Amino acid sequence: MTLISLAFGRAVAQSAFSLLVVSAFMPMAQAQTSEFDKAAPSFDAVQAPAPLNLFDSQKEILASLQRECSSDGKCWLIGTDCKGSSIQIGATAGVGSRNYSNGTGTIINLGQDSNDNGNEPYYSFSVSGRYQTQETNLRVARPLKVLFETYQWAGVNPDGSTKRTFSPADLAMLSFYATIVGKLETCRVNGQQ
Amino acid sequence: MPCVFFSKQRTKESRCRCFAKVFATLALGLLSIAAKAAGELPIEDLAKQFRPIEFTSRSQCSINSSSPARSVLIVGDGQDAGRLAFNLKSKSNVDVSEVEALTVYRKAIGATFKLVVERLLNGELPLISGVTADPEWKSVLESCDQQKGCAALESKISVVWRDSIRKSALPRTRRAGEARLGCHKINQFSALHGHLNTSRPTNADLQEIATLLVEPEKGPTACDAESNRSDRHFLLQLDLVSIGETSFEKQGFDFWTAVKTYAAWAWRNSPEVKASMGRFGTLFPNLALEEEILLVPNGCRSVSLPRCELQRLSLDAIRELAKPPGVPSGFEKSIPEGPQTDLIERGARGVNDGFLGTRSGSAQEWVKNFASRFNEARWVSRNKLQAAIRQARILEKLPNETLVKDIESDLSEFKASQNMTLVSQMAAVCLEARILQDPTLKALRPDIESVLATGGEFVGDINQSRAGLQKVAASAIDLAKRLHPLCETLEKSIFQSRSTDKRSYNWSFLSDWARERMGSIFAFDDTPLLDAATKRRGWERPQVYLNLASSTQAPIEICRSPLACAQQTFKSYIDIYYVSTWAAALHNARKIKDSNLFNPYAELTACKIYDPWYATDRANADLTQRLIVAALSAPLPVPLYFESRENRPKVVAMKSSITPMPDGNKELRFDSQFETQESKKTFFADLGPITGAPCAIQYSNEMNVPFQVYGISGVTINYCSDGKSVSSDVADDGSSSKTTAKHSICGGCTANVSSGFSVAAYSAPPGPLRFLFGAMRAFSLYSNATKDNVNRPITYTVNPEFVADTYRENGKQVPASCTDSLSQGFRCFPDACAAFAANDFEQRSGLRVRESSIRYDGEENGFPSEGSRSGLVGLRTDGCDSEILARVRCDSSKRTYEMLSDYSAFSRLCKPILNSMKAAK
Repeated sequence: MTLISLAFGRAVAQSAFSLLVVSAFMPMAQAQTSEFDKAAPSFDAVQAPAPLNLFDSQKEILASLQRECSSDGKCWLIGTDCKGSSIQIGATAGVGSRNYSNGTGTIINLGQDSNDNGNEPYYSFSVSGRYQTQETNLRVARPLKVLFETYQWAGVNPDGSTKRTFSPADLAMLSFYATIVGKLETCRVNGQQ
Repeated sequence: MPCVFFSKQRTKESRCRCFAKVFATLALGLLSIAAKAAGELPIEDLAKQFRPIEFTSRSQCSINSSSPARSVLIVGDGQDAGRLAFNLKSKSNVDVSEVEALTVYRKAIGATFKLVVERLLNGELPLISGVTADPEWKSVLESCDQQKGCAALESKISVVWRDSIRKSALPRTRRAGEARLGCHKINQFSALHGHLNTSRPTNADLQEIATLLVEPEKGPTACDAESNRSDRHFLLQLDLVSIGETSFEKQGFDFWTAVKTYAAWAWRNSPEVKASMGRFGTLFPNLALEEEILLVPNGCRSVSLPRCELQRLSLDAIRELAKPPGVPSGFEKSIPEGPQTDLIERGARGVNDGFLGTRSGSAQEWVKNFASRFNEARWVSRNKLQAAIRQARILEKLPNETLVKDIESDLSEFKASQNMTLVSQMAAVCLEARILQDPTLKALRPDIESVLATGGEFVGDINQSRAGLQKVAASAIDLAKRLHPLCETLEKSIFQSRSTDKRSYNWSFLSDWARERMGSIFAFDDTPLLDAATKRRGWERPQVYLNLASSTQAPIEICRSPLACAQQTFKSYIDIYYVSTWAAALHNARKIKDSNLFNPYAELTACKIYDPWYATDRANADLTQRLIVAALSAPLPVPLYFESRENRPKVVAMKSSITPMPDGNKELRFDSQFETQESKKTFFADLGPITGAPCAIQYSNEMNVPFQVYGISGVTINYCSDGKSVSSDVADDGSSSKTTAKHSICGGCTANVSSGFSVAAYSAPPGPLRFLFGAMRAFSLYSNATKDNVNRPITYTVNPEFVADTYRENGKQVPASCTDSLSQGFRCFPDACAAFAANDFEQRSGLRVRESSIRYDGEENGFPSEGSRSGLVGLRTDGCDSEILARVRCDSSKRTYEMLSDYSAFSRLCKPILNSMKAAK
């Protein structure tokens, strides 16, 4: 788990993806054998734990496809939600006429103070609150979703542990995943988008 | 002092030296040159040999990029000439110094360009492309691109060159305003290159320009003159003075194509250039001029028309190498993303702000930094090409089928399961093969296939290797595909991950290019890095797999193991991609290169990433819309406000297409892919009149829209809720399309504790007054938008001749009152409008205006001096005893000038002048 979440975590802070991996371990603990187990023994005396039963992982993948794919053929891969609020306090004071128009085109100064043209003192005090929510979702085509899911499940052993080393195919997938996830817009609450 | 033949200021001594030189030249039998010198017009002061300097804003710079350059810099590196002299001295015991060779070399390059450009300007040499060119050139040039020899082109040029020698020897009289070339060696960056560092000249800049031009010991020297400074790195400047601007605008790119072609020929073959090389005349022509120099437009205009095409972008990317050392560029990557991707990533940036370090300091040092980075990149690329060619030879002996079989047999023979280094290298090979060819993992590699399909031109310097390289590329992909089944089998056996802590393999043998591509993934890899030689060798196979056998020497090891051979093949594939990507910049020695060093907006405009007219168009559209909204909402009981603003579509990717060219080559062209952005809409309502309290609401489909409504004394409380939802659909090649929904809802009230006024008292009542208020706001915002000095096209022109005249006439200084008219490209007169009229008169009559003044209409009644005004200009010139009058209209804030009438005068003496002007018109 550590390695996977580390590698993924870089690109996907607080993503729902790692949660998905964690929650998926529990019901799988009872799975027994694997076809890979039979092919492998000549290469290692230590018995490698079998990856998840192919049938079970297929079921999981299908369930996930049903849950996360929409009718347009695109499947949800990863997303971030964030929210935040801020308060700005400002004060201005002075004497004489005030020029409110600062020309940015979005600030409207309709009010006109009776004292505007005089030489009398003025003051103003403002409290501005802002609440922001931001939701970003990354979607991929169905075959890609299947590809990612398959590799994800192949990385999970039935005892709940994950692979310690990555094979060339795993690494290529990880890198591919990181490239795709790099397209995810990160949350920047209270900043300009 | 240069040998000035008919200079007004020459001394007796210099005259003697000049004659000595002339006789020396005659003695060498160069009759044509001497004849030419005799027909030359008197060389005037330095100030008349420079073009007007154009200071431009970002937007104007972008517009100018599609216009041909009138002033061009030649960046030269004398490394090869110096090495030649060194070898002569040390190996052949010839008495020659490097300093001498470098000086002769620089002078010869200056002389070559001077000769070619002057003959082209005089019409003694024809253009070789464009509408006016002889159609025969077209087929000659095309055949030259296909066959490497270019024999037809060379013989055609030698014919026209002989003809040009004959024409230039004819005696001819030259008129004062005729097109001429200024050719100078730039020693120091100064205000003469101020247009690269600022978009508006100051009085101090003008002062500096004048000093440099009037006091010759401080200024630039002639490009073919002796100099006491080092010529190891040099910067020459060519200025086309008094050319026909309109015709040059049409033919300028063809002009520079001709200059480049003729110069390369003349360097090797012309007797005049050979003579200028002195005793190096048999040696220097062997140094390929195409490799030695780079043409750089001196400013925003271009030598070649910018196009959104791989090789052109690659040439312009050389700019990155002109930056100080340590600034990373795509040239340092093993697998470059390509200049088109770098372009999008870097986005809009500053220009004309000295970003290449041209504010001050030695030009030689600047060229030195650039040349050393440029040469380094060229050598890296050449080595890659050499390695790939070597690989091509090996491949002939080693088919992929055999290689894969040998890999398989090695795995069993050397007990892969117990051999960690062998498995590690196998893992590296499998990962590399996957990155290169796995059809589902397109996002992991750039579009290598398209680049290779068009990269035919890059092997111009190595004949017959093109097919070989294509073979290596095809073979590498074939090998990766053949390895796929083996790697898949190993995935299920040898690479199967363990739950124990035992690692059966690591990533120490993974190639640098693959590591670069995998990027952050390897940040977690704790495998110690091997040194390059060990890594290249791979695992220590007991017997060497592939040797280069030789009867006389010990065999040279090519691949220690079949796996090492496979990795070398993959590396070659990546190297060929690198070489193809930067082919135009680092290879292709058949043409003199040019690069838009100082104008990044050349590519940004050609690829439609930047639109120079955008800010101007938007300001106009905004004004119209605001006026309409003000008129529509004026009669409503509640002040309403609505604004919709188009967002410029953002370029997110480049779509490539392979286009066949008439010369048989192919081009990789790029089309920008835009992400359309929803227009920004803002709706605002002042609820004051309804609620009786100063409250307002605002809705916008953007985030973070400022909300700051009432500018009255009191306590204001505002609250906004912003939301954004982005959905990106990513394809398997990594390209993505985005849909975004955004909103911002704001509300706020102000409690005025100092007085009990309701807001209704503050806001304008419905009707004309409200409209007036809205209209004033619209115009005020428009006026602000027109003050944008960056995104609206603005040019300031400084004519060095006028600056120098002002300096001389005002006791060695440029008065501050002259800055305005001098930076409009006019002579110094107190009023810019009067200066414009004087300039117009001078251009049409060829006479110098001594005084110019203007009386604006209505001036005596104290009318405001803003906006467009017309008036009567009075000029005084030599040979005419009365004022010459004309009506003009000017707007100094917009800097538009217009003549409204012909010139007239009351005196008879002036009549011939006016008549000759009319005749010329």
